[in-house]
Amino acid sequence: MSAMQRKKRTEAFLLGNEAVAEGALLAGCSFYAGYPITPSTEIMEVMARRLPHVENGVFLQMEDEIASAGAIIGASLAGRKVMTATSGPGFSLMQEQIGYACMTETPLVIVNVMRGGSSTGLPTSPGQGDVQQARWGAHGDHPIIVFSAADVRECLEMTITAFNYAEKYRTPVILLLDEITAHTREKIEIPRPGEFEVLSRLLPTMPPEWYKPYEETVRGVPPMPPIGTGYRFHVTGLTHDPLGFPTSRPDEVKAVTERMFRKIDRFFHDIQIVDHDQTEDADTLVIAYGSVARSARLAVRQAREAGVKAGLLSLKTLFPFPRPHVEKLLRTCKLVLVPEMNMGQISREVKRVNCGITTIRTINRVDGQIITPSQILKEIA
Amino acid sequence: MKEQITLDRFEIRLSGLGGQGILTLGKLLGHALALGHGYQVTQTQSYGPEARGGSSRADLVVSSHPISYPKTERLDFLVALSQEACNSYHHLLKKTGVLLVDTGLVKQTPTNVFLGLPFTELALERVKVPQAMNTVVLGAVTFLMPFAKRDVMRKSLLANLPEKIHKVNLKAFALGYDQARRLLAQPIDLKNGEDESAAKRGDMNLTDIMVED
Repeated sequence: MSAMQRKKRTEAFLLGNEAVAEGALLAGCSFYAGYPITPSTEIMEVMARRLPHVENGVFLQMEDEIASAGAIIGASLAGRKVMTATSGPGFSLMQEQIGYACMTETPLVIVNVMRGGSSTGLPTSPGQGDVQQARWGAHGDHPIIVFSAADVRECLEMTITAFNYAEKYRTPVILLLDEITAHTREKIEIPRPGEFEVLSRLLPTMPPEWYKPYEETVRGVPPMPPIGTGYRFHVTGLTHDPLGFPTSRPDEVKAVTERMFRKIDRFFHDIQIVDHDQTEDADTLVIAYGSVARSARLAVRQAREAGVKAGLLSLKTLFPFPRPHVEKLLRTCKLVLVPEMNMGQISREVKRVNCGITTIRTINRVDGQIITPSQILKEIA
Repeated sequence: MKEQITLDRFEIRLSGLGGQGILTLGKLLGHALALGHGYQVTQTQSYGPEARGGSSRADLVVSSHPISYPKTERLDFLVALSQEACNSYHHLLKKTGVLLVDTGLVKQTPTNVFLGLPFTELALERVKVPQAMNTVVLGAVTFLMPFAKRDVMRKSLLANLPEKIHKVNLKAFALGYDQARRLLAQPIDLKNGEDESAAKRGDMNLTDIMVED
């Protein structure tokens, strides 16, 4: 093979789910534990085929989703980059473990491919009903990062970003897809290693006897050695002191909780990712995410052709909610539409930010069908 | 030899019953059009929870430009391999859209303007493998779509199917292609569709492009 050929990227015709798995492998994921569930199963299938060929790669099929989340937390503490994927019913089961991962500041990536309905719902149909659950599903005050993706290329990119941010901020990152994004096949170019940034967690540089696992640092993110490398290691879901042992001393509890929030809060500008499409001069704005953002893109294009100044703000970060981006556009637009495949979960956030600045109209669809471009266009016109 | 044609959202729906191989057909077609022909393609699917018997469909949008909405809205080409599919989706065809049915399974078409071949019968009697029906369809579809190239489709077929069934599927593909050439005479004429979209651009009315689903 010549040098020219080797430089060429591979083109592939992939499902959104398959692109997630490719992204995970490119980001350095070497441990996957999961339990299959429609419509996320293809992620697990690809990982099962590919991980045995990765150096030290481990793939485990677990007995359920609780165990899956537990297994990836353990592997992450041992120094691996880890992922699991599920859908609504499995995501509910994982919530306790997600809270544990937040408290112990364990980096991990959980992909939730949202299906329609609550409970077992509509296994093969799309929905976007888990948005607020992804933010607030685990009990207690906790910061968390929630991403979404609209097309196959974004599935790959946002998975890599999810791994990077999990490691950088020592936090669980949830990637929310919907059935349409997950089950759409498209052509993508698979980037080659070195063409994108790959981040790993901060390791301690001090001698083991000086190391305090949850000590305050400049960024608020404490360094994290893998278990078994000589550094003191104590992990607990109880509120802990800088050494990692349980404490109920108010000053220590306050300090650790506030640091956990601060490590995310201070980097909102880094974490809040959005995409602008013709928003500069728009007076009608659509705010959308996931596959609905694609419908909105066509609707906005058709509205522009008909002379309406429409624009689209598509959200790739759902939480922390990209308030600065939204707020700025609320001031310049007369009408803001929020189409979602739920009864109004991101529109709550938009309304919270709005405080009466402009008119917000929601478009909700909960019949297991995608919101079509014409449905959005009707509201724009 | 067919030339490279510029397309603006050519929408295809392949529909029928679970177990007919509709999703595989969609994947093969999408793979060939995206990687072999160099078009932008989105292929989506919809199916019931049943492994066999439920309704099943695969949608493809083919375009020379980036595709925003990945699903189909107004069909240019509908392939219906069951009576139910034909009934349910016929109304989504554009005025200039083309309907292709399995004449053995679709007894009543909602219009006289349709193309048909007995795909299931062909697979059963000529290939002796009923499961190869979807590849017979792929052959016919390849002939009918003026922008689809035969050799590229064959390559996609070989790349996506396990080796032990290559031979039988190549036979089925050739059969479908030849039957279509002999009995359906000529590929779909894209000109009508272009006229329609040109008219749309000239005199734009939002209600014209809105579709109830």
